[in-house]
Amino acid sequence: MKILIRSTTLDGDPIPGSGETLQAADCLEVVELMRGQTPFTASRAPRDYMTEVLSGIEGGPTQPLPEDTAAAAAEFLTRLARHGLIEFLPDDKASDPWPERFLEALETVRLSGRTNMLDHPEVTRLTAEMGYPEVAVWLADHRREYAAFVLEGTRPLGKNFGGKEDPAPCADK
Amino acid sequence: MNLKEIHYGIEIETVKRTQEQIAWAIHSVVGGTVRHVGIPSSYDPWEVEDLRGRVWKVVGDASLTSVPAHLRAEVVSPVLGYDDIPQLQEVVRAIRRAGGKINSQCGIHIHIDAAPFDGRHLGNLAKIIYKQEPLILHALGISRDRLNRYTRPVSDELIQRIEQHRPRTKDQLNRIWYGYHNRQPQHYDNSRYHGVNLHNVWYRGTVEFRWFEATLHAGRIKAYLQFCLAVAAKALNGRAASSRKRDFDPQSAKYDFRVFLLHLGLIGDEFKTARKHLMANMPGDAAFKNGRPKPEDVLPDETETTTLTNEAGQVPGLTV
Repeated sequence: MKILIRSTTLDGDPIPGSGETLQAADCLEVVELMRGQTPFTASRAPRDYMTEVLSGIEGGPTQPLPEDTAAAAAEFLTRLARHGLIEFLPDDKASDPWPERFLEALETVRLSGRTNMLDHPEVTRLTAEMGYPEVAVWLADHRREYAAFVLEGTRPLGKNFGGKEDPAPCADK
Repeated sequence: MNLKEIHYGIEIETVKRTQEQIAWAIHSVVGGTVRHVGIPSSYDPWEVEDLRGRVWKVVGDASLTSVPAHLRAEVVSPVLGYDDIPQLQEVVRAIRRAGGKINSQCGIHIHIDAAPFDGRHLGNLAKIIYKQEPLILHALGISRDRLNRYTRPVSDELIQRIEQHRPRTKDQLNRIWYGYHNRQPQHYDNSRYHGVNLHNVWYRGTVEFRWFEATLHAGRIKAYLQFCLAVAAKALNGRAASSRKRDFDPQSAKYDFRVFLLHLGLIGDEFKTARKHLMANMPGDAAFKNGRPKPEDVLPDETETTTLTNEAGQVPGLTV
């Protein structure tokens, strides 16, 4: 997973789109990376670190974190995001790459001449029929990616882009 | 029951961004994984499973006919609690930052968990809304078109039947709502197009509030939620409710509505923004029922004017 730790104003308000990116395998590893960023926090136990950070943000004693450390890390990140202090980013790697024999399967179907390659259900059926069951399963779940591949030769990745910032006249907007 | 103990869900319709883009915007706040479900294809749903395992859905919406089909998206939240309001607000802000927009066709539906309600509570709810509806409809600034088609007011007939039969169970209320005992409610039942949709109690287990014009203003959405939760809590906690319909008086509307909000428990700093947004459309004065009294023309004080004279009896100063 990948997160953006947002920079904040002097008042502690998060600045959208700014900050530092961290990437790790799971929530707990992300928390470990965050904890290791300064010598002051690196020496603290993960749970103490998370509790201190949250009490600093939420003011005073906070709702206790779950007992399980992994669940506590997930809860910790969720609460940081709730305050706008971090942002979850799409992972760099493709979310679900196509199977190994994908191109071979499509070429086989194409050369057979039995269907228009834009006919997604028929292409799915034929790949299964021609001995590529794993490709058929992938195609059934990835209609949009397949359409993009046929038309453009690429896979579109979801982007959460920042649009134009609008002024916020209301503090709670 | 405290309003903070009631669970709810919300549906927000948006335009100008695809379901995928909206799904990634939600992901930026809740984390977890984004998945394109795609079935049923008419809704083409995307799902975001957050770090707590709750699923946020983004589906297509055929009712938004003024934009191309791929740029219509409806966000369906998981079951949320009162503490999740800040996270929901952050989700709304992320959708706005990602370029999501609203238009006049978009709406917001709020679902309140119907599990704690019995027939009497739901009757109370209908009566509370019926009584204050002229104020509520004005405060929420609902368009005439929406009011006529999708959010019809509570009918006089329903209230009369509730008063007559005094339902104590949901089944008794079911007969009153449909006119017969409907054991298998369908999704697109015509009776759902009311501002307070009790059809959903039997179809999905929620009371649906359909009044709201869409907005991506996080503060307004919070205000709408707090209002619905407060009305629901009032219905749950009351032994009975009056159904005498209130007249709308433009001179006292703002004052009357503020009193109603305070009566619902929306008091203090926590609900300050809710009162601000909910009363913004109301005419009149929030503090004076009959309008702010005009200050009388204050007469100038009859101050004695004394003329200082010197010992010689002359007025000091320059003489020309």
